[in-house]
Amino acid sequence: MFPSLRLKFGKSYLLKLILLLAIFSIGQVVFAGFSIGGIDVKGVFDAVSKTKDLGDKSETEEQLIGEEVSTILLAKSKVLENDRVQRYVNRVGRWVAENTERPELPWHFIVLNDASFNAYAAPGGYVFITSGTLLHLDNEAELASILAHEMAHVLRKHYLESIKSKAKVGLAVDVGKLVYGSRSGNSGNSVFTSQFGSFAMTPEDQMISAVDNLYSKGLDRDDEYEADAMAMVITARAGYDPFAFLTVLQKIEGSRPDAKEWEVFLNSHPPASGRIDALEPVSEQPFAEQEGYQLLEDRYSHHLFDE
Amino acid sequence: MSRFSVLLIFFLLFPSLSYGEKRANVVRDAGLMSQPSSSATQIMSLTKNSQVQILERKGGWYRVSTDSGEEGWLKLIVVRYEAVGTTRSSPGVLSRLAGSTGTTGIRGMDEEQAMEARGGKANLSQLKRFAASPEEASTFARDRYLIQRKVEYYVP
Repeated sequence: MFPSLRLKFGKSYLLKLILLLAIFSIGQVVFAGFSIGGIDVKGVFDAVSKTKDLGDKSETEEQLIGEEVSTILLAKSKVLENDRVQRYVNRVGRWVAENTERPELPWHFIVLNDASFNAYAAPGGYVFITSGTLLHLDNEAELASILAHEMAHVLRKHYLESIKSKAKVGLAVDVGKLVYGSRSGNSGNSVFTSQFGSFAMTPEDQMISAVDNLYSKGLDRDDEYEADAMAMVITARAGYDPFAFLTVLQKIEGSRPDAKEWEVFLNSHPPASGRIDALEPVSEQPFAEQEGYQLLEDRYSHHLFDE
Repeated sequence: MSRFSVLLIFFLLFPSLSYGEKRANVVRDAGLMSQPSSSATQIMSLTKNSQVQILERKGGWYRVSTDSGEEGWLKLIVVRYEAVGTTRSSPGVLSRLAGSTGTTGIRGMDEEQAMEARGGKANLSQLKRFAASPEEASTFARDRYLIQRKVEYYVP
């Protein structure tokens, strides 16, 4: 087989040329993501190699994506200007984090100035909760349980995997490069080209679109059920009443479906009644029957409402 | 001691919550128990869609009273609330939470948003100042007797 190939190429310049072109186009496909549209190819490779040098690439990619997603989410929101509440939520959150399998993550908790009920997270440990949510809760255990649920999504990388698949990048371009392209403010129009199609969006737009889509549609039902089961356990580990998570779900279930403050949340989560039913086996585990759990109603209202 | 102060002390001592007038439904046939335990004696069986009044909660159980005047314990998991409006979420409380009376004006969603996306990174680093250290978190927990315990994740 090979001797005959060598003979062929030796004889025909045209064939050599075609072979060279084929290799070149394959190269184009492989490096398609950033060869057109003014993106600094060398810069991207530098970013990737620096990322690799830092050791566990998958963890650093998670942080990179998490920061980018958080930045995009913050662009659409107002942060609650109340240091006391921010610090309180961060202390509750950090305590809950100490009771997860990744306490070393740089967990950050951000309270948004938003009347609607909602909470979500970004990869790498950014947890967002609205002031509207805080107004619906009765005690610190309920707050801890919501934070625990969001942290479970981070622990299981639900948001991370979903963003990566929604960003729909070309074959050989991973999201780290996408984020790098987005950050360096490159404004080429037609950026991604490969033999599989043309994506006429800048990396920045692609990320924004993926974030928009994910956070309005929400995660899938299995992810939510998994995070619910984990939330009850994490809440209990931290010394809070695990049933506080169920009372939160009961509040959601009993809310007026037409009320504006519930709209975004109800559109992005599976029905609360099903979530409650799914937690029945968890609620019957021995840990749920233990004594000595806390609710801390007074500490909650003290930090939120007292001067 | 007046009856009122006795009642007050009663409620302060008990680690359960009193609910006032909270009406709820039962989503499936369930037993009304004499104690908050599945192994207690059953007082009666409540049928699906029965209405109850919630009196207090203890762990995964509600003490309830039925329309026929029976009282007993029901599993939290079978209870759903009637849809009610919320009490605390008035704009007044929200702005008090925000610590300022006037909020900034309605933002335009276009150029401002694009600018914010670039400035968003600066905001994110500012917000990091609220983060608590593990030591602060431990102290915070200890202050109110939040006791850590080992629990495994539930695997079906």
